[in-house]
Amino acid sequence: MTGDLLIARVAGERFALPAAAIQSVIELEQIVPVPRAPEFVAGLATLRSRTLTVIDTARSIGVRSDSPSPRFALVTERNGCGYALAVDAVEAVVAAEGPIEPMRVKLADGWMRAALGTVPCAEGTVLVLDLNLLIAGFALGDAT
Amino acid sequence: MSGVSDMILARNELERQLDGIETNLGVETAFSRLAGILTDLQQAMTRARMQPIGTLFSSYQRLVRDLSAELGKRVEVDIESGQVELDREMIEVIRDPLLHIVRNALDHGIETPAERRLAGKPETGLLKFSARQTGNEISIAIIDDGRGIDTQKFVDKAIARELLTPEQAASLTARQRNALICEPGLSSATIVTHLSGRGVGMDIVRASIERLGGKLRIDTTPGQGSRILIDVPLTLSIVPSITVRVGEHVFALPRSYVDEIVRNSAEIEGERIGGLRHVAARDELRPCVSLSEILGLEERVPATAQTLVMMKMIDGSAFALGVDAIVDHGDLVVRPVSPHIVDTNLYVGVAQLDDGKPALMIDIAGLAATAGLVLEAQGRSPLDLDDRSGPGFAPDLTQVIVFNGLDGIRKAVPITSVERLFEVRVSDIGQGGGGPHVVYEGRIFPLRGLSGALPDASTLDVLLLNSGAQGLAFATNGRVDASEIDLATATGCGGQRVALLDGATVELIECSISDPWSDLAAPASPTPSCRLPTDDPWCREFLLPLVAEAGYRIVEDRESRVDLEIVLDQPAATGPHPALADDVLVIASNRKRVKQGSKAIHRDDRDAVADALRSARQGKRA
Repeated sequence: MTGDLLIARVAGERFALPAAAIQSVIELEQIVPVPRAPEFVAGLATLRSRTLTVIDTARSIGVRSDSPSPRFALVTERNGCGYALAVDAVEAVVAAEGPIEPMRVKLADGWMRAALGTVPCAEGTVLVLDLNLLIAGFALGDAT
Repeated sequence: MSGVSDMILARNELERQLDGIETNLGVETAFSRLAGILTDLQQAMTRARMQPIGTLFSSYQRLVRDLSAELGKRVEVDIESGQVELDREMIEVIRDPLLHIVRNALDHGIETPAERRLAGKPETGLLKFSARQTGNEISIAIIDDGRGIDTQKFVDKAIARELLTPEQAASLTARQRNALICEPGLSSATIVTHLSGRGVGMDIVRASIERLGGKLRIDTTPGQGSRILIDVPLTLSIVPSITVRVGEHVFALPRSYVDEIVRNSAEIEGERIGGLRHVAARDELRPCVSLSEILGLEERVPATAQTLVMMKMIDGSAFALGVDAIVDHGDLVVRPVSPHIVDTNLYVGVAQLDDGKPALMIDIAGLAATAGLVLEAQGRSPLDLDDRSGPGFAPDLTQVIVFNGLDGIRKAVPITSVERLFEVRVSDIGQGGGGPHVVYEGRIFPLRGLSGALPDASTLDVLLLNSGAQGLAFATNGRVDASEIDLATATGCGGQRVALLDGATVELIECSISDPWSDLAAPASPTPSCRLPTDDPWCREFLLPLVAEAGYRIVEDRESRVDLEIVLDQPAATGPHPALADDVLVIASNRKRVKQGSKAIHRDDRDAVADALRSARQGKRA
């Protein structure tokens, strides 16, 4: 893996996403809920004149999050639609120092499914998650 | 377009910010100037995004050629785009639904040359595309002259699936039967070909058209062909909307669905019928659903204090949607929203309100489905036997433009033949060149409907009719209005048909192209020509209209060859030119000269003259 990694924190865990795929980091203010949407869709937020679909990242992964409602979000885009991945904190952007290594250890269910692998970097070895899976919300129903 | 919409939203945001702070006059002036420029820019951009719809139609030509070759059919494509332009984005979105309709027409509609020959049609089938713009909407028609759609199959299937009882089926009107074509799961394809009949049926096409806020209608006549009419909004992104509040949520409803808005009360609130809440408004019982209930929100407002938005669906069915309050109405820029949200079938997109908050645009058709109204909606279009309940259900009424002619007679012309209405200065009406004419957008149109002298007024409202390739202008004397006429009431009076409208008669103006349907039904045959002695006053005044009505083209010059020559057996009349005519009709002024077995006809015997003209014409065609 080359390029920069964006390291964020959700449900108390650290993870990384390819920084190139993240357009910006925003502070979430008001989220307009969407009735009847899947659980991991927290609602809609506006960024200037764009409307973003806010993904509750912890629910999307399928892990329990004890933290209060997330304050930050990572903005990305798929097929012309903007998404904001809500996270508890954004820690750093660092350069990857090696290729993605397949997972060699067993992780908790949700993390295991969302993980692409691990990457060494200046912050140590971080878990890289699959952005597409986070947006698609593959862990329907697992969230509590 | 989104950039331009963003620009407008940014302007609104700035306006809000400026409102909150004390600014000096200079800032405000500069801002309002900027705001004005942005509005102009938006309009210019909107115009620049328009693309002629003819380009879209032409793109199907190759497909038609390839498919018809593959199917062993001969198909001619006729494109009449009427210079209509459509938003680029919109063109992309309707491309696939139209493609499906074209495939259906080729695969199921148009017959093989052998079948067509047997049916007495020209071997080459016709597939016609046409487009019209009416206000904010574009009407697209796709017409084929194939075998039509057997609606009985759909009725049988609907009965088999218990969507209809046999009694209900028996009382369906033609239009209600046609509406069944678009019901899910009733595809008529008994043989699945690789082109169509694979389950992606007309119901999907209708659903995708409806998702854009459009409408789809099918007319079909067995043996004669089918006509599919699609109305779509001019642009995709700007939707006239009503915003409503439910609890803390604000949602947008497309205004085109909204029939009226009523405040609920104990009188209106009806009973539960079959487990579904109903309300009675204007003596009409409609099912009622509460938006908060469908969306799974907490009910905050008691049912009787709700505001009821009366929704009218495309198939004419109606229901009431209970909301807490109406917030606003206006045009909203609707954007696509992520698949997660669209997949709920409740929302079509998202718009940003003036305060910057997002509001989801409700998918009315999906909402009705989620609320469990769809089964009923499926049944309702046929079940709703009251024809007055929906504009779409008026049986076989022809939409017309009614106006006063300069001769004071109220006239009607089918709305499909009217291109537009414009004003000309009377001084600009040109004379000469074979009759009065007007110039519109750089083209010359012959002007009809002037009864003799030009009117006294300084300007004249003129209807532009799409009669043939050339077009035609028709003078009116105001009171131009749209209405509907049952053409079954039309009767002929001396070549000019009149029809009944609101208890009075109106004269029908019939252009050759006024009804593309009849155009197709009667294969074009060359107009026979006829020469008659125009120097005789009786011929000019009485015979000529009769001949013209029988479908002859009048030839004036004495040298060219004609199909029929009419001569008078009077010494004064010019002798016949048998060498120049295929057929000669002799008209006698004296009854004694009309002998048994002779071809001569007495001039007072109007019916015999008409018969002779007709038989001469038929003889010619055979």
